[in-house]
Amino acid sequence: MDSSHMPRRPRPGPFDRPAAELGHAPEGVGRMNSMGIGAPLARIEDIRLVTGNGRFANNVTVPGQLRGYVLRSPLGHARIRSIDVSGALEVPGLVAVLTGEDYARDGLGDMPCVSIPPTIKGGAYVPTPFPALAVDTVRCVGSEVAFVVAETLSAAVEAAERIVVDYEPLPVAPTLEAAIAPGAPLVWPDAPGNRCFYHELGDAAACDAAFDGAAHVVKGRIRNQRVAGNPLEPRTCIGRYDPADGRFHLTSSTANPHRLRLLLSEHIFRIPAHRIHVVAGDVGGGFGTKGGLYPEEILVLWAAWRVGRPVKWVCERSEAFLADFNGRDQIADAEMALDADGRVLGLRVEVNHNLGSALGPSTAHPPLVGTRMLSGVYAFPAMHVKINGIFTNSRTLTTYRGAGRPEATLIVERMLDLAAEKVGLDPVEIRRRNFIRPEQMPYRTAIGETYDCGEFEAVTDAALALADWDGFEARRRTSEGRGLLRGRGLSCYIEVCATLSDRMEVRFDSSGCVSILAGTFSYGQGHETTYAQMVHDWLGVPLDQIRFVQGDTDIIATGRGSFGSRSMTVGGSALRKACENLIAMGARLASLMLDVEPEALDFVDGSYVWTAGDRRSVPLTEVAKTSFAWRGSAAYNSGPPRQIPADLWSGLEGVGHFSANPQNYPNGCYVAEVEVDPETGQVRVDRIAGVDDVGTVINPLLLEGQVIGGCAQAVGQVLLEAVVHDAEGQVLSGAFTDYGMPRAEDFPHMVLSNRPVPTQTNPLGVKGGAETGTIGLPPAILSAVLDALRPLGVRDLSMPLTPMKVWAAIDAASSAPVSKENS
Amino acid sequence: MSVPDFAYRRPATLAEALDLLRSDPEARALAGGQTLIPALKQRMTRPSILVDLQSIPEMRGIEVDADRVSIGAMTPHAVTATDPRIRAAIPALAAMAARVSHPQVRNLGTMGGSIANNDPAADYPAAVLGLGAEIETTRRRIAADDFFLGLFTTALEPGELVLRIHFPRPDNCGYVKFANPASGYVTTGAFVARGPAGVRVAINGAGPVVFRFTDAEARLAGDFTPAALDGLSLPAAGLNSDIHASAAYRARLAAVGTRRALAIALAQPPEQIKESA
Repeated sequence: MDSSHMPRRPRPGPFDRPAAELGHAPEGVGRMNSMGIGAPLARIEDIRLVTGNGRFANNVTVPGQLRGYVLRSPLGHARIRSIDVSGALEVPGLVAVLTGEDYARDGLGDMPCVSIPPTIKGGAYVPTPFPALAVDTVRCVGSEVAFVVAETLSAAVEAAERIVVDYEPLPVAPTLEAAIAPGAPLVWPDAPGNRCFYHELGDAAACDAAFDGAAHVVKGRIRNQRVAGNPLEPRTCIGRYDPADGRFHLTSSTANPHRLRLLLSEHIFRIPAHRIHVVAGDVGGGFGTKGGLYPEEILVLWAAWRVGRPVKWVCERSEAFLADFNGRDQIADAEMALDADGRVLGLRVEVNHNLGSALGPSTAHPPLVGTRMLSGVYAFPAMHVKINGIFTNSRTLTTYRGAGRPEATLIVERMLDLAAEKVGLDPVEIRRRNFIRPEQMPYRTAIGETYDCGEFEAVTDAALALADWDGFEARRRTSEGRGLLRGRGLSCYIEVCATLSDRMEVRFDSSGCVSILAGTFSYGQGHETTYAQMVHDWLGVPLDQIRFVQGDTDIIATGRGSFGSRSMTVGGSALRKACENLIAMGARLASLMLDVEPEALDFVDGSYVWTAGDRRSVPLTEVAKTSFAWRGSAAYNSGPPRQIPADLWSGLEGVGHFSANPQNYPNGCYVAEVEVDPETGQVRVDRIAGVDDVGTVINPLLLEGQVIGGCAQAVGQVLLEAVVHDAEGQVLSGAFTDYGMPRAEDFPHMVLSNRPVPTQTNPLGVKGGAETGTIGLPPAILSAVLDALRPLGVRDLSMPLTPMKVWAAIDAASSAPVSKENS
Repeated sequence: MSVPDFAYRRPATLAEALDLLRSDPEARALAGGQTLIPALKQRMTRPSILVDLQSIPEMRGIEVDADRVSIGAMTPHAVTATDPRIRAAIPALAAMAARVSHPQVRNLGTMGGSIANNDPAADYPAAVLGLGAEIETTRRRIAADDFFLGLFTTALEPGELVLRIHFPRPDNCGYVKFANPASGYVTTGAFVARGPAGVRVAINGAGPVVFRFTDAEARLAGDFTPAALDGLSLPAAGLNSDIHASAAYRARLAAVGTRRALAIALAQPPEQIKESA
């Protein structure tokens, strides 16, 4: 290679950042918009994250910091008779032992629940006291009993081991099955039947009438098991109280810094929000697990205030199985009424959802939001849904990727499979007969949800083609030749995304570079890339001159974080408005610089241009620099110098707001094929294909990553994952040796595609794209396994489909060959 | 979890290691640490001294001759998996080692550490028992049949260390493992071998300790073919049961595993060294 003919690059200055650091697209890509919306740009943040330059909470060490350790309840339900800390106090390096009594004495508030709306049908719900340290009673294994603060972690653990807690064991109802059984022990004495709340959707009378006239009725019980979020980065927080400014400073691996500050301010410390400063740096995944408020975030701040030194707490991996709030955990009893042709006349569902032992901020979100989607992509004329929130002696429930929509999708799709079998229809055909058709849009479901758009049959056809649905039989025979049973299943899903409002800000600096100040919060979603692509597109600023800022409540005016696939919709639309506002502000200054009326200027490829006139123009970046000019005159090319008005002379910026009202409805279809070893019950997912309609695609590469990640978690839930308790409430799945996480070898290559039907409900046409896999795929895999096992007489299975469970079902079916009706 | 304080020594000779272990009742030998270190982190054990065995020459190296394969106790799984002489002489042993956990464990975990720990869910006990190996310790030689006594219990006495494992070269061998879906440890495994000591079938993971599947051995002794195993089953009584596998399921896997291990044994015979070589 002769390098002498290579074009010379400008020599970098000593402080220039290497190009690779800025996530540039491949060589030769320099054309405007080739890195903008729709471009498969590699993630800008990845170079930083994979070269050890991430700033995760555990990378932060504050001078003088102490280590905190939480002593947790070893029992599922017990009265605390006494706590003797005297032994702990003798451990060298111990600084403080705090208990629930101290917590109460200092007047701190309870963990709040902010997810039960006042419109709930059953009237008031049963609230639960939830101090960060238990007082009197522990109600699940892992409950916080004492907080030990010491110079080192070793000393803190040593001291915790010397604390003697005298527990009086109480009867335990650790699971949903145990808690709803007649005569079950009560988790809270004021919640009979362990019921926290009751809610209803739909019309009971209309539903009854539909069932009266039905040719077929099928019934099913669908169990959606409890799972652990298991983000890659365990939860971590560092609390500091600064007497100089009188403020609490919290660094946390939270997925929602502003919400955390609000909850701490309003519910825990009851001080003005400005006295609490929350910072989240890089956060390594959350899936809902990190979205609210945890006792440890309170404990480090409170302890730091008490002892006068910063306190750090890092959750151990196995501790996370006890300390993190869990997801899913629902039993649904459903009945579907159909006419003779397989058209659904009515759907009744009663849901019991496990809330855990005490209500956290988002605990009621999965049961209440998920059930809204029980009509699926189908025109069910009558529906009636009953929702019971149930207490158990298990860890608090919270959102987990999909948060209620996976549960709803599993119910709808499972019932349609049962109905197809009963009516004698192909599973595809029964869905075709019930799809909501495009011409019915906007469609209001029998439980009050209004879908704005969607082409459900077309997206299903696309998925069936991608999956080679019709080529199944040949593959089945090949599997059969190897002694394996092959099955296929499909699942059509719809979910609801984007909620609340958000605020985005774009702000130029004096060099003509842009900062995006985001109210959303990315903890793996790649906003540093997608938002930059948008701003690059809309303002014409090169990517390497765009900076992304989030996660510091002192810098970001306000925000609501990222969850429920809201960021591209709400954040992206707010960002668009911010850019539009900035462009309008810049036009006034450009008008002075070009001596052309602002209304006559067009904004084209990053410049203001007088297209109707002599095409004189000025780049936005020049306008931005001018807004910072030390001498307050504006001139460009030959234009006469003009005095800059005060409101254009302190920088160029734009603020945008957007609220997702109405929300949007991503949908699609997933197809799975599995092979089952009938001798061992082992299931291998052999093929996954999916087509999503998530509206406009901002970055197809990142979207595909999101979908693959969601599918991976779906495979995990269907085949492997389960939080398991014994009768005493002990967690039997308290480590990765017993809690099955999916590994690369558990996945086939996933064939994924998009078929966008952009929504008109936001200016970008986007729908949520982050949860499709966890919502859409699970029923397809379950259905495929049952399809494979049909020749053996297995009619039902509940997740996770572990080898033993599948083998046991085969064994039971073969020893009792009488076929059972659906029940 | 934080690890309790302990002293660490890495003796260069066997004599020095044995002296250290004798010097303190709370001293513990450290092989690859794949069980001991996690136990330390969980504060389930609190040794005064950890005596690291990695520099002791007697515990290292692989020797292969016409009759046997001798593997030093401190040989990591990654070496057992890839050593061409082991792969040729006892392919099922190399294949077993290659499927233990992930690369980090395979590069640290050792055969001696595994069999001395005698976890019912470990792989090697099945090979050692199935091949009828002999365990050479600092005091004696112990036949595999006499070595694995019970749950995490072996014939090793306090202060006695495994030096080497001597495997007779088999005519046929095969191993099948059904892994725990969460941990990857053995739920149930079956090792089938035919060699100088006849036909031996060892089942690991299923019971509290590895054991010989005598019914399968009797069937295969005269007829080393799949047909001999028709209708083979193992009673579930006394087998382990946990959230991932019931005793009945383990019994089933033992029978299925034995059939499949036999198929491997028949399909992938070891290389035999010619007398002239």
